[in-house]
Amino acid sequence: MKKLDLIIIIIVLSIALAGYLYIEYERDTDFNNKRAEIYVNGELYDSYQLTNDIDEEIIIETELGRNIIKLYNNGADIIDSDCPDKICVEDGFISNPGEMLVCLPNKVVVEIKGEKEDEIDDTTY
Amino acid sequence: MSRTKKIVIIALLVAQALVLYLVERMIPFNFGIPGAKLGLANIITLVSLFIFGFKETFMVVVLRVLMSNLMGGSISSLLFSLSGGLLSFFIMYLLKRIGKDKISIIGISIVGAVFHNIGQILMAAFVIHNLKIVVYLPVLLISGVATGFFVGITVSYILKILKNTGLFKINY
Repeated sequence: MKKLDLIIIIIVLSIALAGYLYIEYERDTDFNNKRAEIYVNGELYDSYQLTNDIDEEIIIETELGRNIIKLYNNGADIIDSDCPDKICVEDGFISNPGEMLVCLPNKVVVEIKGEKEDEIDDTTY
Repeated sequence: MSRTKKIVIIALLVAQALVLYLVERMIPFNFGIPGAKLGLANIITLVSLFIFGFKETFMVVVLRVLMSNLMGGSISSLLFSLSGGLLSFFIMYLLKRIGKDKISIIGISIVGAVFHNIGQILMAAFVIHNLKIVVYLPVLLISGVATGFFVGITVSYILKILKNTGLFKINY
């Protein structure tokens, strides 16, 4: 170990920390509605409104491969895939806005998005 | 070093890299981080970098990536291994030339591991047309520092032994 090695370690770790803090900072917490957006090959394939009692299984079948996505408990989970590494299946369940599941071989991305809908609470005349 | 000796040693290094690749696939290491790997094959790239120059190591990297994908991969995983492997090799080569005495194998190895992850993430973002995948980068940087550190230590032991055999001129 030399001095420059330590400097490199410190630089990389601080970039990682800065990146992590930035992502946390950018995380949208102001939402009253969650959507699960499914992208295939970079294009929006489908989008679902998430609720507590949602229970839906979506089968995505394209020439790239086959994924089964389950929407439940206000979140999403890829429960099966025909890709070789199965990283997307191992990733498990996501429910926070900004989180995503990615299946690289099949080019499938599931992203949770929080959105704020202007609800009219009260109207006065 | 004679041409024949060079060819034989390149072949040996590629074979060893393939064995390491297969062993690594059996080790379930990812700590829940998608894409995190031990990066054992980088041991061979580093050794090659210290006993050969640019051209030979480039060959070792390309052959290793092509053959390991034949053994268990797909076209898309070939893209990822190639982008990660080559980017990390170029950066390690530059760092070794510029850094000379100021940097040890551990530092070079860490930078190599980190850029391997960066190369793969960029390729992944390109493939799925979604730049948001860089949210994985912070954790991958940390795992790169950890794995790169231990790979670096391993390589420094290997080079010490190789130096004692007197078969190679190792500038370390």
